[in-house]
Amino acid sequence: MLTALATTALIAAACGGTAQPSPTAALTAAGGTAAPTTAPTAAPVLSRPVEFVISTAPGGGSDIYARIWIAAMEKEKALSTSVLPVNKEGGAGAVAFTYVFEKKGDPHYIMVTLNSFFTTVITQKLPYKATDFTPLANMALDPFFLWVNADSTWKNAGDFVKAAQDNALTVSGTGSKQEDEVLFRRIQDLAKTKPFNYVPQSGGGAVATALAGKQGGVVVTVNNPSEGLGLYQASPPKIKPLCAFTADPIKEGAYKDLATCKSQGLDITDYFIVRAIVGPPGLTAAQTTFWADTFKKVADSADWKKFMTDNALQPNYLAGDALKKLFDDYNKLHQDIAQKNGWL
Amino acid sequence: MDVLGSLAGGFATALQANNVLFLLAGCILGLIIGVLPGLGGTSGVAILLPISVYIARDNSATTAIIFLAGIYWGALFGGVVTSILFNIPGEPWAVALLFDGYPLAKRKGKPGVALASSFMASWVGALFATILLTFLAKELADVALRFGPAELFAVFVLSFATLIGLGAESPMKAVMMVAFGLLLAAIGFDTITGEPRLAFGQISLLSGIGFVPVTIGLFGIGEIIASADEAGIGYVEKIAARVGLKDILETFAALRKRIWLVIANGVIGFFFGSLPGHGATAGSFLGYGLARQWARNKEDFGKGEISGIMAPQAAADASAVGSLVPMLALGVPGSPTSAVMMAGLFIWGLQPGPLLFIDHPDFVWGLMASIYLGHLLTFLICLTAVPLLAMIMRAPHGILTPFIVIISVIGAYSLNNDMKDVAITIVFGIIGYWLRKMKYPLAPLVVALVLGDSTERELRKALIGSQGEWSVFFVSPISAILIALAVVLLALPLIGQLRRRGTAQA
Amino acid sequence: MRPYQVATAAIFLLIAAVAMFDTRSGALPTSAAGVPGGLRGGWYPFWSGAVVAVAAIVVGAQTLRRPDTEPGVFKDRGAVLYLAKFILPMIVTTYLMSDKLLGFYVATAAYVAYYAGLVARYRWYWAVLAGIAIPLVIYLVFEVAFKALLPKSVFYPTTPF
Repeated sequence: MLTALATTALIAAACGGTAQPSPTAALTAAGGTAAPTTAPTAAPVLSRPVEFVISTAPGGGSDIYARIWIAAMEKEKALSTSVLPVNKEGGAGAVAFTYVFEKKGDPHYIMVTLNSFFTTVITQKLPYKATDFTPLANMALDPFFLWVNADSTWKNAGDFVKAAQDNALTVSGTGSKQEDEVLFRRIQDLAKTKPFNYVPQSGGGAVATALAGKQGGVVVTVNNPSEGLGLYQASPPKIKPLCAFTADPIKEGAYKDLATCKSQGLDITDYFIVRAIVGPPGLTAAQTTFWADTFKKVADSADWKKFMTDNALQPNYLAGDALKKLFDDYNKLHQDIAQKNGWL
Repeated sequence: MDVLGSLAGGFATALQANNVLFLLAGCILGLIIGVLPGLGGTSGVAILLPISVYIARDNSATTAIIFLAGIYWGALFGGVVTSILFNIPGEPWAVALLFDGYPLAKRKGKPGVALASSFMASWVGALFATILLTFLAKELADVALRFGPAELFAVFVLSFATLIGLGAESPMKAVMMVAFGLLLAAIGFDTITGEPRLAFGQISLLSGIGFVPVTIGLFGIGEIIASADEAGIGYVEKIAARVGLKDILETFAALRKRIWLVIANGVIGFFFGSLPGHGATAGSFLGYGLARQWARNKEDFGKGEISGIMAPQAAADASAVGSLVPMLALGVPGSPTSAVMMAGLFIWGLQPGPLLFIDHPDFVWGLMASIYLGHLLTFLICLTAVPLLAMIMRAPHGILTPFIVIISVIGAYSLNNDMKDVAITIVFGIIGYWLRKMKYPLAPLVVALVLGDSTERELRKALIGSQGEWSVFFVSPISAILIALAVVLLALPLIGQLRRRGTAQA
Repeated sequence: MRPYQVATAAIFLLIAAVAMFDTRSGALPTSAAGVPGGLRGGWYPFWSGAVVAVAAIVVGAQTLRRPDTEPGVFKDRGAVLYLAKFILPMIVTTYLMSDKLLGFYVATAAYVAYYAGLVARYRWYWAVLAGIAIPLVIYLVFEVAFKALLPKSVFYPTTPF
């Protein structure tokens, strides 16, 4: 019993030593990166481990991104404190958003976004807005592709649009009134198609599989590149992308030379999943800059760059006012869609 | 043979000293994590993901995946311990073990047999699943793709049909509990339209009522209150939790009698696991229900029948193996745990999916071989380590009772890091105590709560696909056969009852 | 036993009635446009509630028809007291665990010490020792070793728990 107690005390002492960073180390981390700008306070920004809040379950949507960034942060030694991923699933993200919202002004809480960060806050009448949070950094824009089953006769977006104008097509996406359905409603408005028969699934993998197996008659999805890659690379392929909802054709990686949907008559180039990091409301300029700089190091890391190429992500590091504008635009876009479709 | 050659290569990889070492470390860590309340395979793999980065850097990605897979298998074995010893499910799929595991350990006083049964079933089930994975991964992935909402709905209906009447003295009370469970499952967002239901304007109710906190409350807390009530405060039955040689021999004999049941459940579980998004939990319930239907001694189920432990456990572990099929063959996650493992692949710079077989055969076949080895290692560790784990059971009741309350709280909280779930656990603890007193069966309530959401979702997805035509469930031959089977299962006891009544009157 | 049985069935009937009232707009399948698959969100809970209601009525009626063979629910007044001593502190403890109050670790320490000292009647120093040891071990395992966070008190980060 005594030895056990002594051992635990030892562990506690040892771990206490590593978990609490020395103030000087944190200072150099903060000061070193923020040096070109101004450092209004001499105190270090972080004094204890950081909680990286994730609004999905382990393995779901944004979870993978948070874990990749944390790994990159450790590898690049971008931070002197440890970062703990904390999954708060539920209410289409509302549980996580509310948790972070309540930590006003505390830089030890950061959160990874996906588009439910905009949609959920709008459709659920939560007591805050997406723009209330402090935007820290955008890491990439995750494009949507237009996917069909591998044996589909459609060659391009034009064939799909024509079919959709004649018949109500069965389509599938993640969740209800979230990014995939938002995009389908935009296509419906733009191309004047018949209303889509939208089948909501529990995750992007399930959406891609439903298309591969034509489950329940699903003929089209708008999966992200990473979600469909395995099924596309199977031999023979199970699904194939017709085009990308991007401004330019895909330049490298597994989807090299995939055309834009715009070139095939479906002019949507401004809708992506925003892979960004936000903090609680009311962070100071110094704290915001500190995080923006930390994530800049991650954005420049070789591992993250390789991941972006492999998965056809559009590199798009943004911070400060440019990021604020991106958030305002997306907030307005989702507000409009929600209004138009009576989702409020 | 091509596959055998590759597998031999895989064993050569997996048997390298550092790989064996990390496999062993993974299995032991997984066991500890599985035993801890609220931490299971998914959170265990997620917690140790950062460490795997260094393993992948210093050794290879193969070593890293072998380490993570070891955690997965360890947690599968460890997750049953709290179900059997404390009546608190460590993992969702361990819920089915509450029905017979705890009764066998407590009421029949055979915790050794209960634990050994689940470990042996886990191992045998996983062994057959792994053989299927080795030889049929790609073919099965293709079959699983054809399994759409109508077929899945039929499977869920079949699960209900095999489980109705479980532990019920009054059939009407069982029906009531099933419907009440479905009602609870419906609280919160409607997954199809995104509209709130039965939330009465409460934001906390919008995210629904999770079945894990409810089950921990109904079984874990409810049981402690009930025994405090029956035998006076602080009374918890003492269980001599030692796996002696006698217990192991007895379990081995029991396994031999049930070997086909365990193998069949391994196959069923494997198939379930290979359906993306429908992992171990549904498989373990279906396994339990089928075992009960097949058995001649139906009335022994729920009272500590060994088949009721072996069947769901074999199915659960096999479906964990099956959940690797979509990851390897299609690049989509088959279960939450395999989703986190996929995150690991991304972090180490690999792309999950069929190209792994071509670009990184060492990785794929090393992983396959490590499944055989990992399960064997875990199984052997478990049999020797259980007496140690079970030392807790000998703690004095004045410590053990608050301890069980506290681990119930941790188990409920850690699921979503939300205090709301703790409140649900306490409320359902009191409800569970009262329903026990009023002789309502709790098993049907839990089954309905677990399967209710998925059943509704698949039903409505199928109807959306068919534009509201209910005939969709009979067009697909698989779904038609399964539903017909369910109807027969439901009708049989009724017909039997009518017949008995008829002869009694004549 | 009988009055309690009937009351329980009545509560279920009430729950079912509330649920059915709340979801009544979705009770019937429809072919109206904008309803995916012809079923509204209320269909499934409405009919689940209906089954609860019917079953509750049948159970209630059966109870009234059959003779009341069993005596009261609780053994004696002492049993009720026991239950109160067990259940109420459990509720208070979990309430105090919120990160706006005492947090998990302090509340756990108090609860374990309370139970060991006042209910199981151990000597006070054993109770205090248990109250410190259990949360400490949990802290080391969860917070330190596996980095799984449990709610901390309102005093965090001044105190480490």
